Amino acid sequence: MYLREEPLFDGPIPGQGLTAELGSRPWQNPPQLSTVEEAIDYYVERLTDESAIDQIVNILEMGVPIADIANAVQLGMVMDGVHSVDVGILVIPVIIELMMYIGDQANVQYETGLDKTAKDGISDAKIVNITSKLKQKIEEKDSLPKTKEEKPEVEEKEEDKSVGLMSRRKV
Amino acid sequence: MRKFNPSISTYKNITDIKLKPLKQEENPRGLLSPVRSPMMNESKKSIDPVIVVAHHVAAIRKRRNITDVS
Repeated sequence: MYLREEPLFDGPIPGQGLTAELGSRPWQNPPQLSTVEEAIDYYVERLTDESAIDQIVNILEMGVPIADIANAVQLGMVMDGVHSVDVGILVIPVIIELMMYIGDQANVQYETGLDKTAKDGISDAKIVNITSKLKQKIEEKDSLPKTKEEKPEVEEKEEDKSVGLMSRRKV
Repeated sequence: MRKFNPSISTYKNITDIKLKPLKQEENPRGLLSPVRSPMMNESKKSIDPVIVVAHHVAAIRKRRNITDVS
């Protein structure tokens, strides 16, 4: 579990999100697009725009996973009140597939983010590398001549001296 | 450690769906053909949104594959 080392003092106060008037936020109003079909048409139109394609290609070239971009895009639209959260979740696969199509057209080696990558865990190659280094270190230590024979430190335990009135006496 | 991303699970769920071609019912044209009430038309319209999305995804993927080959 990740624990924050320093307390966050500039964060929002609990309940601050409820201070705005009800209905003043875009997501608190009825969405502009209520059905999945409308949302798909909206995204296809927006993502296939020339300026949008350039931006998407730039982001894909940077190595940002498509799954993360798609999630951010639909969340942004939910915040703008374009569609509801459930429509956004349903539309995500279309956004991902469209971005893959754009990436293929632009000959970009994109990262989908759908498979487990090396970033998710420690790769086997790394584990082999580290173990071999450890073995080398151990062998180097063993090969060095021993100058001093280290005596094992034996801790002398002090016998508890019983102090109480009712304590047992030594015979 | 990566955070949970709903887009990964939704994409995998959609791609697992086996699609059947959407049937388009022919409208009867004869003068004596039965007339459909608006209530029946509404029930006909309601297709599962997941299936709609799956069809769109399949169409884009098909196009992607065609462009990959050429």
